[in-house]
Amino acid sequence: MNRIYLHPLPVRIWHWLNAICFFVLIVTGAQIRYRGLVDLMSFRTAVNFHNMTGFTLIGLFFVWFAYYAASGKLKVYIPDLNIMRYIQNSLKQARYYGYGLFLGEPNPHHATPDHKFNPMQQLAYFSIMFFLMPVLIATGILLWDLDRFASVIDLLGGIKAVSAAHLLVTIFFTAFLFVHVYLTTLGSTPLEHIKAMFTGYEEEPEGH
Amino acid sequence: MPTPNNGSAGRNSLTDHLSLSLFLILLILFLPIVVPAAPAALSDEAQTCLTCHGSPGMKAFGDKTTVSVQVDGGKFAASVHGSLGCTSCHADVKLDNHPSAQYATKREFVLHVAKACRACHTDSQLKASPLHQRAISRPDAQPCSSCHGSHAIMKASVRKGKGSATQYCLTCHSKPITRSIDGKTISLTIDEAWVKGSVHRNHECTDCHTAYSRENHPAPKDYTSGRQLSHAASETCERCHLEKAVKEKESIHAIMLANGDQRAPGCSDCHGAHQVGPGALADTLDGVPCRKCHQDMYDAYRTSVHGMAKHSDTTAHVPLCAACHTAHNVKPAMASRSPRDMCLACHLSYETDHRQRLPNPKAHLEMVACTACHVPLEYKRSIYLRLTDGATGKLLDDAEMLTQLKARGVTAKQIAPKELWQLYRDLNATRAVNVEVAVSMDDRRNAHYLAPKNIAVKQCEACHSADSSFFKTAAVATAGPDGRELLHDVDPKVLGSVYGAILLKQFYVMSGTRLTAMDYAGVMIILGGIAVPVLHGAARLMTRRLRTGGRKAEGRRKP
Repeated sequence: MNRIYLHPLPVRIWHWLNAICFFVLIVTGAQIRYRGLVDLMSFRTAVNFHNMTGFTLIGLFFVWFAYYAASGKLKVYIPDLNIMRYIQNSLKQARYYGYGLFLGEPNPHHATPDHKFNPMQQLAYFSIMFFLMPVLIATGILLWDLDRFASVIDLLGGIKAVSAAHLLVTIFFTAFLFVHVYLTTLGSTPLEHIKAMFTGYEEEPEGH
Repeated sequence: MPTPNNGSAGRNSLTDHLSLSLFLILLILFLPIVVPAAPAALSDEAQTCLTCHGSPGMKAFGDKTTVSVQVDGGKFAASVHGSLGCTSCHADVKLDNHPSAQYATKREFVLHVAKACRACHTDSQLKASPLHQRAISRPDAQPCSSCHGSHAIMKASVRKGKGSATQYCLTCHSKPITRSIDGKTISLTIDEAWVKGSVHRNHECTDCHTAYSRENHPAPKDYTSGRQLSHAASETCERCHLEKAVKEKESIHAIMLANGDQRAPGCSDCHGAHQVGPGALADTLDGVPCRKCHQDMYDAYRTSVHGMAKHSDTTAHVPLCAACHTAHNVKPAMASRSPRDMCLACHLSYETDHRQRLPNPKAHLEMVACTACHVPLEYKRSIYLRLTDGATGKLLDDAEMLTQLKARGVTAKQIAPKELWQLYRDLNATRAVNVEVAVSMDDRRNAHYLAPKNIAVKQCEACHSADSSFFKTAAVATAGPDGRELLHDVDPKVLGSVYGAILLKQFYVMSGTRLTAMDYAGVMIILGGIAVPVLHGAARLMTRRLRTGGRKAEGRRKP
């Protein structure tokens, strides 16, 4: 087995804090939206927790950005700019997930610290971190203080539009969370990827 | 020796004679002034009657009422009838025959005696005076004596010359006189104390009743109702209180009147006619005039935080009706409009006060009426969709809305979400029309139950809950022909519908009015997310043999 130091400590801490924040935000968000149907806590408590956790998530986002920008590893999120090559690699990866994996074929992507994500992961995480997260953060801040941002909200089509955008991103994240957790079971052993996110080391069979 | 007759003595005698003559002339000229004229001599008959009737005595009637039978001989002698004998009027009483007539009531007796007046004062004479003409033509006319008295009747010229104009009017109007309008009896009796106790105490009756004077008493105008009389009287007030009258012309009361609704109050309905109190009186719980018509709202106010404060300290600066509704240009009350501006006029620190408990106070106050939180929860709330003109901000004419609905064939009592959206589009085809949303009281009268802070709604869940009672009813608000708000039921589903998302961009109550379509979309997307691991995982399980078999084969191949 090969051991690769794939996840440095700051990334691991960021990842798990992020996970806790997302969990709290999804639960309190559901409580805010479905009070009367879901009654885990009072509306006011849910709003307070949601706001506090939301700002923590925003802080973590900037920590993530600063770390990756400073370490020069932001490029791991950037898909291959050679479109044809990118499409070919993506199709290979998709074929693996949809066919090769079932036959026991090796994963066409070999994770390294500088090439952490396969083409499909790159597209997904690039969209999440550079598009969906900013949308989630921006709409969240707008909804946090309606009085202060009344004119911006108005410009964006009103509170219902902003709220709908915030909700749509949340729904996508929630759905993605199931896929994300499932994908962690596709390592050399079902718990390998999760273990790696604690230890930092990813183990993969010889020859990979 | 004889005394010499000198010229000096003769001159003195002449002077004395001239002085005496001058004194006598002056005495003759001024005697009537210095010495009052002696009353006319009473007739023998009168003197005979006064033998008994000059002394105190009472006559009782069947209904237990009484009348004094004593006559002041002096006053009678000085009266216009002083030279007449008693039997000129009391014809059924003779010196040799003094019947003790029985009358059921005092009024019956007075009316009987009054017939004697008409023996001399004929109809043709009375009809020459508009006042008398009207009096004699009425079946319920007061007897002559109610105004003129009985035995001390003065000449009109003497009576008119005495006292102020008010005193002259009170000669009759202090008596129980009435008039009939539309079958209803209206008292014309004035208690002098009323006027003396009013703010108009220094005015004479004729200052207001300008058509009347000592010399002139035209026949009262004919009114079809007492209400018409009240409104006609308002014109009198306008002469001095023009500024208030101009304001009143903009009021809902003036609009009601213009539309023929005689129930609208005139000046005297609020301020009284002859007992006009000071303006400050209207700012007291007992003196506020609005309660005469709006007793239900007064009762609600009385239990409110303001009403209780007013009751405990009458001098405190606590709002009463006019503080919110204004005194003369009273605007139509609207259920769909928050009284926010009126509340905030006093509660200046509202933003700081609310920020402690209520996030986004401006956003809340923009759409949630103060009453929605500050009235106890037992009173129902509703959602109002105010259709307003984009240019003026005023409520849209109801007729315009109905025309558009009719064109779309909408006849149901409750407007459906799609119909509302179509209506919005139709209206906006020709002009800018906005939909403003307000959470307010279902019945505007209940807005008066403003409670103390400790009872105000503090639970966010009152609104922010899927099962909040606030969103069970909704109505479109437009303006009727008289400016008053008209409400049309709307299906409350519009609040959570896609149409509502387009129409009510700024109105979103988390949990309360969420877009239900988003829920379905969300469930589908999340199910999609769950489907990936479920299906892929199942496929992995089913193909496990392919992978393990491969490995086993590989293992067997290894040496």
